[in-house]
Amino acid sequence: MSDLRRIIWLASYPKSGNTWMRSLLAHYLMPPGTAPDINNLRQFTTADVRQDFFDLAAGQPFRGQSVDDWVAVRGKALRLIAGSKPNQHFVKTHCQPIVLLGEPLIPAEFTAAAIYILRNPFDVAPSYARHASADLDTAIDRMLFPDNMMGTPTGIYDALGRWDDHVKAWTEAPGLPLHVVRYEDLIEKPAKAMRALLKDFLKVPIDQPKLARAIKSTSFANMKKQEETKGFREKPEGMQSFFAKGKVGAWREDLTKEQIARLRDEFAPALERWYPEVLRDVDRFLKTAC
Amino acid sequence: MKKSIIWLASYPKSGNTWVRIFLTNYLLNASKPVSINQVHRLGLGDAIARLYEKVAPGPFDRHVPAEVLPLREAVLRGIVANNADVNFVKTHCIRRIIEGYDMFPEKYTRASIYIVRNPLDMVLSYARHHGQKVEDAVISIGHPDNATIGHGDAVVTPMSSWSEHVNAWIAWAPWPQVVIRYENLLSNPEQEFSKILKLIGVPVEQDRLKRAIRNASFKELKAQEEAHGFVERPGESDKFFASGKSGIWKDQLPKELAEQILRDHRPTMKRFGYVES
Repeated sequence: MSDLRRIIWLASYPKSGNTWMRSLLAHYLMPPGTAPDINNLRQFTTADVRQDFFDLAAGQPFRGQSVDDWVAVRGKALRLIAGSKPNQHFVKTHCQPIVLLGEPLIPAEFTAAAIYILRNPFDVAPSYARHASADLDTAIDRMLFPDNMMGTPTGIYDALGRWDDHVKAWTEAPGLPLHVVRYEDLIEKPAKAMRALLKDFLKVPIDQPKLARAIKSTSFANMKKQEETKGFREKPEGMQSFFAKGKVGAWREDLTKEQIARLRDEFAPALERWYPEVLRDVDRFLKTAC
Repeated sequence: MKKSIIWLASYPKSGNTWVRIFLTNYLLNASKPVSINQVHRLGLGDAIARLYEKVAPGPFDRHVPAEVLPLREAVLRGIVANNADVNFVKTHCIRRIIEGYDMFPEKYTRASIYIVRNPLDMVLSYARHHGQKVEDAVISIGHPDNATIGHGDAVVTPMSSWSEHVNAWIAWAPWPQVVIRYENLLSNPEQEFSKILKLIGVPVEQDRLKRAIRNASFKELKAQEEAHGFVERPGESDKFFASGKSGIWKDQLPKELAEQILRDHRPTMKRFGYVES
């Protein structure tokens, strides 16, 4: 069993920096000149919603009709994903690490470790709304809905749930070797955040110039430019551009006072734990906006 | 020392004993039903006072968590010390670190089986089992500090509320886990018990499976209890095997108590399909 504990999960709620993190790791860990652009990141990382692995697992083109169908095949698909590379490798996921319909969504038998990336929900909301081609209130409803699911047309799902449940389920998973990165810290001090991840958690030696190059090539401006010139295959249908703003604190312009207050009240305990400084800004903002 | 414990975990009155009796019948491969009073041959419980007395350096109060919890690790070490590949251990304890004590250390654990039952039905059984009024049981299962009190030959067991318990057990675990609905065990026993056998790592043989399910059927267990009694029945309760059905709450649970349970547990109930919206 232990030989399939190969997956290092790259886990996050949608629109929280997962793709950026995958690009950073690819640029740092792949040999010079082979680092992928945004459209062949899949050479470096796998995702747990890959149709080809579900087809293989199902023994035929997978077309799920329900969440049960998806859960029934997911374990087999993950076994194939875990076995698809001889050593530990990165797999992107937006699922919560819980047991759903009797089955663990993130099975211990395929798990080596996890990197969890989180972003403050006030900035996630507008980005998630654009991502899901939904209006802001609908997007916020979904972030508050305990059974929030995102699915492909073929019935492969992401069991997202509520934003705060997601954060709690990952960051408090008992016995999981875990490293947590905040999107905001990655923006503000990318070298520091990446050094902690690479050196302290992944036990990879630090090559300073290489790290600087990786950070530069995956800057938001660069990723956005790539999308503008070549497009981005992971962009959901109907969405204008995947790399839209990438800013911290854009919620002040993007959200109404009511929307900010709603997120603040619903997520207060998680915000106190992970975003005390944002919570202070929000409270100040709400006070002056009244 | 091996990671040999397979936890059979649940809130009380949720099918734990049923699963143990099924497993005993399946693993012994008996042609006749195994006596319910022999079910302790399959594994132990983690609340048996005798096990704590064996490892305790001196007298302790088995009703006081602060005196019991520090002994738990030695009890578990004692269980895995037999060097067996598998030790089944029944538990109602919440999967959590309490006052610095990890209730379920990874180093002793091979896998876990968690059984969940609709709290609207469970609470009726829970009240009967503890000789409690149903309205008091509703409060107990909604309380974050709920625990078994440690009567008879048992030590106190921290459980917390039903929702907290379920959510702690469906969280990520560093070992293989299955979560089974009691209601699915009733409606589709072959499929659900097969999942359990698969997790344990024993081959699923259809005839044997059917026989073990029959020998662990509610009718059989109830008949045995009426004829010979059941050693695990608490003094406060009339019968251990009382109804064994799903949906009894519709007839037996007063409306205002059902509403209280929904107020306390709606998100978790929804997750298991016990409430529509």
